[in-house]
Amino acid sequence: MASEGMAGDGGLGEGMMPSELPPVEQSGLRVQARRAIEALRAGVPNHDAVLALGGGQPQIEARFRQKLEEADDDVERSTQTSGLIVAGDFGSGKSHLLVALEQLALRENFVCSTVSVSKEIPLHDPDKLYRAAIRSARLPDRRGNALAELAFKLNFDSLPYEELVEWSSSSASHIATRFPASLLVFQRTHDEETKDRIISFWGGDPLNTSQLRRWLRDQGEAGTFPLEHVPQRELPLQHFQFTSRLISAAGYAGWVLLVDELELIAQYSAKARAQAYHALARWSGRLKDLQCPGLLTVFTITRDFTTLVLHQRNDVERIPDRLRSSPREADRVLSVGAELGMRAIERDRIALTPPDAEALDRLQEQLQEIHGAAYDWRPPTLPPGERATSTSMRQYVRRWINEWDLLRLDPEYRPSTVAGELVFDYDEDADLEQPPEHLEQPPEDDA
Amino acid sequence: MEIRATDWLSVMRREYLDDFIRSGGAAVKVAVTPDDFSRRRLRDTLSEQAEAAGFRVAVVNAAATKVQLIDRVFHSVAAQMPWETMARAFLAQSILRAGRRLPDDPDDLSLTALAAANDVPARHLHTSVADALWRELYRDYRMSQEFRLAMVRLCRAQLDPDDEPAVTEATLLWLRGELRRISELKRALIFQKVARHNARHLLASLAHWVRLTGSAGLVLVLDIARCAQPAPPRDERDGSLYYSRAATFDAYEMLRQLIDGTDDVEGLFVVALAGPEFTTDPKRSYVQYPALQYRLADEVHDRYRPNPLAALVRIGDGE
Repeated sequence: MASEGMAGDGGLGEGMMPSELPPVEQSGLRVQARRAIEALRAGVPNHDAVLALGGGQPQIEARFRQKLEEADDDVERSTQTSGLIVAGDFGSGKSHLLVALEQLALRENFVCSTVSVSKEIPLHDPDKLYRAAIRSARLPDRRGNALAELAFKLNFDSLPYEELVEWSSSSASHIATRFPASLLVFQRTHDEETKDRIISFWGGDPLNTSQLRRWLRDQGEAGTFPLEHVPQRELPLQHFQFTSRLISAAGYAGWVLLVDELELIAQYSAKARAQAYHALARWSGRLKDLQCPGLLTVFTITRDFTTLVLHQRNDVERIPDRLRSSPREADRVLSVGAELGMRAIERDRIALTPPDAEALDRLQEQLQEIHGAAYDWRPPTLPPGERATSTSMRQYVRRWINEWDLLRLDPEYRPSTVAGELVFDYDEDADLEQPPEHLEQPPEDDA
Repeated sequence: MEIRATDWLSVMRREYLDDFIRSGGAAVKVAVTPDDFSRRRLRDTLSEQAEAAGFRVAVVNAAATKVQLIDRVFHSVAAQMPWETMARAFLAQSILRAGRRLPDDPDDLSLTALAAANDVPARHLHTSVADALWRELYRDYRMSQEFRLAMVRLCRAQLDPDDEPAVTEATLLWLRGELRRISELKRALIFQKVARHNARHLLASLAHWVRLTGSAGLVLVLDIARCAQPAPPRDERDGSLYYSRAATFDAYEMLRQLIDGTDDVEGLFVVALAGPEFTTDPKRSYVQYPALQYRLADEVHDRYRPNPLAALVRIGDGE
């Protein structure tokens, strides 16, 4: 975390003490500073913290900026810019960096989604990944339900919209005709409920085909679209492709998907891990036949994943061997993607640069200022302590905040910090693959 | 390392209820209690403190509500909210802001009563109040669209209790998760039930709404002790809910998402009260679910003194 304050954001990064501002602004800045400290205390970087501290990884940020430039023309070229994989130890600032990249992408007019791999969002399930990406999507210029905002921002007379209609209607797009059909209905209907249902469909909800036929009939287009049957497993992939284009048609530069905590896939079963590696290759644009133009991804993963999971557990050999020996063609296809995904983790990952002593001093000064602003006091400069290479950024930050907290509550106290190590358990855990009790609820008519 | 309940509560009151949350912040804290009795006492004291400080309070117990389902959590919170009182409070403030007088009976904000109090024709008032609702409520994008539409409906019902009372009733049922047919809400332009995809937005909207209605914020006390307790044999159960290990992880995931979501929420204080199993059970402790462990683990701490502001605290046996 370097000291790149983000000038001009009107926030904490401008080096002004709250006491120098009028009361209302003082209160606003105090809350902002408190939000930043609360988040850092819980180990969850937030927007205020990143605005104040910067991303701290100028090289990766520059590389990401370059990717954004490339991705800007992706839809036009029908290609997908390959995504980034960022590796770092636990607590080294990966999540913090993702927030910084999100802010950067939003400033460049990209729509951004951030998801953390979890029980609810397993990477190998494209439907869940898509829904989570849609739920978390942020637009650069407006808040609220991103898909609804996108839909209502469409200009039906514009060239980008025309191109979206043309692409979605062409057989080359390989997406189901329900997508162009829903666009047509959305464009023409004046019924709010119908529009709402179509936006839900674009967000991943099922759409009753007979209902869509009725809407088309109402528009005098009963025979225009065949509305063929589409296997459920194919729809999420088509949704990603359609939404990427929709984002572009609505006037944005593209769609950035930031995926945090990729290492959690280690706890999946071998089959699910294979699917997750394949998904990594796919969503990062490394599978030529399954690209999603307009989508740019960044994944974060722990640094020791390669050693402990790919090599010691030997995923790198065992998973492809097992898939290749399967009689199912689908497994052999999966094997190719899984190998590409593992290779990407091994060879393409970019390591976070650990801060040097000077950067740490600067960071402590910045946090000292934020803590002071949050609680309206002057935190003392803390002794540097031992600076071992094994100490993570998270540990430094937590130590400083913890000591300042204790000193503020009792100025006479002399803190004595103990730092333990969080050990991530890479062992498989079948309960993490159990689907949640209720899946997404379809609209009433589809139930 | 443990902290005394009274000390922790005092810090929560001073630093969060009276300061950060009241100023628009949001936070999630987890308190691990030694037993049922101390957990219940902590829950009650915290609720009383929050109410006394002007917060709306909701208590959700994992033994009665499936807390792994965020929509159920929202419904349970909604069932504890005085929606009509809140709608009246918002409306009253809006009317005062417009330079009008309120009727003598604070529970009657009908157009007829308002017209009489202000000595203007009801029709004239109707237009100006509708404009204010549009401006101050419908266009407040810090609340989700469905929530805004629901609140507009509740406010309109105060102005004209005879205006489609069935739709108003359906709105209340929708919020509480008791509505059977969503089509009953078409007239309010709400087309979807509360479900996982929109419940989190609705909870954040509610936290904002309670502040608009004059409260300091929303305090949600989640008693999650049951999640980490293994189920007893069937014949020893009392009809309350028990969680499979997978469902426990779903509940932890719900908590993780609440922690990660504080960035987008204002005026919400979530306090999850857990039992000792939350940190010690070899199969169900939070450590078993890394996504939550990342957020709560106190791998850096003081040798002699717990930090009462930490995301996870352990409450001791003593007062």
